Amino acid sequence: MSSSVEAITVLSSDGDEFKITVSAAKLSKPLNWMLEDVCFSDDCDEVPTIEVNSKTLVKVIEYCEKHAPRANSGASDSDAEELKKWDIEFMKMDVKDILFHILMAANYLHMEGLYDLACQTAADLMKGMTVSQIRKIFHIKNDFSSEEQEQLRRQHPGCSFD
Amino acid sequence: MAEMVVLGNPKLLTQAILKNILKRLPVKSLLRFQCVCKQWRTLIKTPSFIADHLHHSTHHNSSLLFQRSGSDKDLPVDIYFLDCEKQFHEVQNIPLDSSVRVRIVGSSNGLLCVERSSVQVHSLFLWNPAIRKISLVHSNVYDFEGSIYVGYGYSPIVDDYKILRCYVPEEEYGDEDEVNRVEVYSLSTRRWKKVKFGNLNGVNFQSDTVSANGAMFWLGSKPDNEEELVISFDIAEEAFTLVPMPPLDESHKYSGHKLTVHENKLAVISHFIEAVSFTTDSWYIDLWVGEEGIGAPKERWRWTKKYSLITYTDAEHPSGIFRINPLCIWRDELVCNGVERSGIVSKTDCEKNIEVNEMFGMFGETESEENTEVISVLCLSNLRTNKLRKIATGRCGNEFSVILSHTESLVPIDGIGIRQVNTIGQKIVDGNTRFLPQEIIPNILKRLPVKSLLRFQCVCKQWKNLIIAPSFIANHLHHSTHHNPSLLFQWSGSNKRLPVDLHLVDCKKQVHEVQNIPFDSVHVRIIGSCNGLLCVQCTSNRVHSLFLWNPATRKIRQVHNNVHDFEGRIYVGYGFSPIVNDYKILRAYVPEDEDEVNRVEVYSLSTQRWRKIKFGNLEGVNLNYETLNANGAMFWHDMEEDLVVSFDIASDAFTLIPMPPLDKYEKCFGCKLIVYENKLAVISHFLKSVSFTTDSWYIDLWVVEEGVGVPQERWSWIKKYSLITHTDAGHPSGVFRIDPLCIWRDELVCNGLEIDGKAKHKEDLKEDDVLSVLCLSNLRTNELRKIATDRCSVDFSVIFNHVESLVPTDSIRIQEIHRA
Repeated sequence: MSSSVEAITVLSSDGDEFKITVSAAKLSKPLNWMLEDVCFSDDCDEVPTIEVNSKTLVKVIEYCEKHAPRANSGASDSDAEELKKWDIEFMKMDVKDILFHILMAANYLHMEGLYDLACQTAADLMKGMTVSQIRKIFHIKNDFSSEEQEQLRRQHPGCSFD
Repeated sequence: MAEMVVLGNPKLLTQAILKNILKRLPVKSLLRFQCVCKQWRTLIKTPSFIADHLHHSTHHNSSLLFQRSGSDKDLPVDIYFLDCEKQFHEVQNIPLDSSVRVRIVGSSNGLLCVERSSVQVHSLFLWNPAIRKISLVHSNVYDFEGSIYVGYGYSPIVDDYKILRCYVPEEEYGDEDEVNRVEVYSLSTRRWKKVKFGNLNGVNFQSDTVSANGAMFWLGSKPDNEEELVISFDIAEEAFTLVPMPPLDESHKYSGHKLTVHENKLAVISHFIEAVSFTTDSWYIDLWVGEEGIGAPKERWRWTKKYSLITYTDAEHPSGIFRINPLCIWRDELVCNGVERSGIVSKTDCEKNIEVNEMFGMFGETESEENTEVISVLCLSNLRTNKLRKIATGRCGNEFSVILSHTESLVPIDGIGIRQVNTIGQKIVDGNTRFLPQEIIPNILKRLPVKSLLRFQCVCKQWKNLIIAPSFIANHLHHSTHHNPSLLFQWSGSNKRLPVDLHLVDCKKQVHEVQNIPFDSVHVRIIGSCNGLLCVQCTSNRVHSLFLWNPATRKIRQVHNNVHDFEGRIYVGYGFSPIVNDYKILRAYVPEDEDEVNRVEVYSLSTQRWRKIKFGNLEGVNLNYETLNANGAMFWHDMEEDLVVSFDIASDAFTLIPMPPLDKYEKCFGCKLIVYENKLAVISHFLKSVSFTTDSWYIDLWVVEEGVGVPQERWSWIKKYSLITHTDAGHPSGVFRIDPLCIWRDELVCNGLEIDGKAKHKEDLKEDDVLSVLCLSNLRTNELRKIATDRCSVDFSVIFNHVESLVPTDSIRIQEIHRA
């Protein structure tokens, strides 16, 4: 990898071009490998495609750029606190619309920090939901027969299938 | 022989290393090594180890199992297995008599399903030849006129093994032979259940079955249009699907095809042999692998031609094998049945064959004096190098047709407590229901509180199965222990008439009421909390009984054998050891007229038995009602002798630990055993009252580290914190007379006093005006925070570190919880 390059260009699955700094790209293992393997330079024709849609990729890159300085140098406690607050703000998004896409992107790009954060956010949102809300956001069909529902109700009094 | 390296005390090797070594051993050695020591015996039996071992063996030691039908031995099935180094082993024979037909249906995770059928009785067995255990699957089929097609397989999604029976009655008239009843047996529920098979209309079965990736497969055909297809039965969903066959080359003369498994996927081997002469053939073999995608059943399957071989065999050729018939794929070898001409062996070949003959020797006289011209050969043809290698020879034509890929494993035939094995290549059955990939859902769910999880069991079957799976319970517990540790305290001063009025402080310092223990108001005491499971002692009418209670799941279970009419004191201890993966309860009896323990018994939750324990070194030692547990041991503080009594849960042995070097003031004022970062610690404090409401206090926290050496010298105490602080009723916090109780996260939990707000400005304070306060003092910032207040004289001394978990109170089949 040539050290002169500071930012690389990647394509989203929708075909849009995005710039991401090298230090930010290092947060993702596959991107890091790519950096090591391929020589990125301005005259390089080949632009790697990331199988993540544009809307999600914007957010993922935003996260990477924010977290890259800390991941690369290590930061003080106050920075960590500030970053935590930023994470909370960053994760204020619609579950179905984008959070799940971020989850899948973080999983696909092997980004542990973002994956953990997205899982935790999803869990926090789910805590208060009813069973039917859960089914709706996860596209799950109720596959219990009425006898099975009855049996579960007996085991856990007060549980609801709706 | 190389000298043995004596490893000494097995505890010196960490559990993780030991496990990693043992999982590479063959089952035979492991069975022998069970006798090495208790720790090993326990380890080898734990479901998590069995699963690790299986996982390793599946990837590194997969073997091939085959049946010889032509031997003279009077055996129902004469089975051999070929290990990954291509060495032969005879398999301990199946303990069934040979008068009836016995057939091996399939092999999954080392567990074989065996079918025995006589004229009237059709029965099924599960057999693990490696551990030599067999069990009858209950309910035989009697007097069924017709054929029963049996399938068998394992699904990692539901973590269950299932057996399928399809009944095809014999029709007196006409040629209709359709399935009229299908039932499935689940090894986890041990029940047969009827299954819908609407889409099997007009489909005929063939009896050979294979199983891969959570499904069973049969070759089938539709007599209407002579269409061939694959019948697939999904083990998790319990539903049939009809899968089209791959586009086999029609230009060849039909010669045959067979279902097989390639890299845990369904595959079809088709072959076509053109005989050039009697002993020379040219053969064409294609291997098609099926990939399941998303979409309608008809369109979901994609077949890829993986290999296409054209080769010649010739009796004159060095290998001398001809008439090759492919059977299955094993590792990177094509396993074939072939024919070899006997007798006409040239001299040079003779020499070559000496080795081979020695190998064959174990099969008895194969090259018999009978006048057979050709003998049957089992051989491996390497897919990459095309090299042919003979494995075994036999006499009759189709001697080696029963052949299975197999893995030797420790999987028990009774309880199938195997955690999910092999999540690689999980199926996407329906694009909608599995919106998020399989591995993401558990990762989200493990972060949820138990209350939400209990509710979400009703979302769908898959979630329900996930939430009750031991591996998930363990992951959830692991996550909660590290991220959501809570504090449990008893509020004895409330006016409610409850046996124990428990409250929980969550990690956000919010106080929640705990669903009450379902007891009458007898004398109830909580002994301790471990992985979310509380041990509760009840004493009433001279009966001393013990319970295990998970307040989060609201399950309670009595530990059998109460103690009746014991004159004296019973000290109880409770804890969990990750080494033996077991919870234990200890009862030490001290009779009224004596001062010393005269009997100790330990209850193990995995065996559900009480057992007497030696306690020779407890002479002159006093136990205490207050106990705590950490890192696989229970502890009591002997204040008179000034030492700590420790009981190791894994080794069932007592040890005496000296106390840290406290100074005199602290000693006389008080010290308390606590748990700090899963280690035994001592908190000592000394209060100097400046006035009635103003104190200066000195608090030290000592943590013990266990090293190597004799019991007396093994322990080293480290002073972790030393605080000097002042409290004053006039101070904003208003808390004084602080008494440290325990450490929770980075907070020191204290019991203190506070003056009632109404009485604050009174001249002379009465006892009624003083309130008891439970407060947290941050170890870093020193900030004091009130959690609960109560009338004076009542204190919050009953307090535990706790974690809400799904751990069941009955069967403790939790996989090892990682030690931090």
